[in-house]
Amino acid sequence: MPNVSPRWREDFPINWEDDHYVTRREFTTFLTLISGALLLGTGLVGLREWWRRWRAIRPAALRIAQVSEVPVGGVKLFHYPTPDDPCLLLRLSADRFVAYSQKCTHLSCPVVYRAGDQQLHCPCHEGRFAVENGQVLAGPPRRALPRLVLAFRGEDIWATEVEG
Amino acid sequence: MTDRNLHASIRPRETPALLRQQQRNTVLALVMAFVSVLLLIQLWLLVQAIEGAAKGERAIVFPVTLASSLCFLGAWRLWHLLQNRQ
Repeated sequence: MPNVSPRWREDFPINWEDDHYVTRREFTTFLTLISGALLLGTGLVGLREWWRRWRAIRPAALRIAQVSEVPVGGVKLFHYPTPDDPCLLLRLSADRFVAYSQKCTHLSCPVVYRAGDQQLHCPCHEGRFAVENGQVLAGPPRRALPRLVLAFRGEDIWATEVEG
Repeated sequence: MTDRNLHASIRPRETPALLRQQQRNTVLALVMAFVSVLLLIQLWLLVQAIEGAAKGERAIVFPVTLASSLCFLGAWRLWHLLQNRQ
């Protein structure tokens, strides 16, 4: 039986093998495009960080609470210097307040206050920070929690600056 | 005729054109390998940038972006070289 090309091939003369064939030059072009995409991704991360740094250069002071709002051993959540930066205000004693960024310095999970241990605990990877000064006590974080400078104006507590 | 002699007899003669073709193939393979290595480095740099941003270690992000740019420039230059040496 002669090898006759089917009729439909005249209407759709596509050779799939040729169509799917990728030359090495085309593959190198593909690699270069991926390289560009990776640069774009890294650049976007860099731009985002630059934007965050630029916004946080001179943060304005922010009234975060009144003294009577936070009981001894209590916590208040707020955001400073930008709405993307969650922070914790802790009242350690009647006249002692401290405030830290709530982002763990390992991978930015939110830390929580454990009054029983007097520690700030990151549940993601078991990072622990001293509540007195924010220093790392245990776990994978290597840097202390950024501490906020507080100011008292009458009954009001203000955050004025971020240390570290 | 032994197998070795048979293979020797059917091996194409190494003409200058064939040698040039072989060299071209080698160069193409080397360029592909080099661009692949650059790509892996860039992937690692991207992971480092994201981790640095998550950790708040902002100082690392900008050198990493610069290094990634250099990798891309290298890959693009090699690609450009290939396109112009058809």
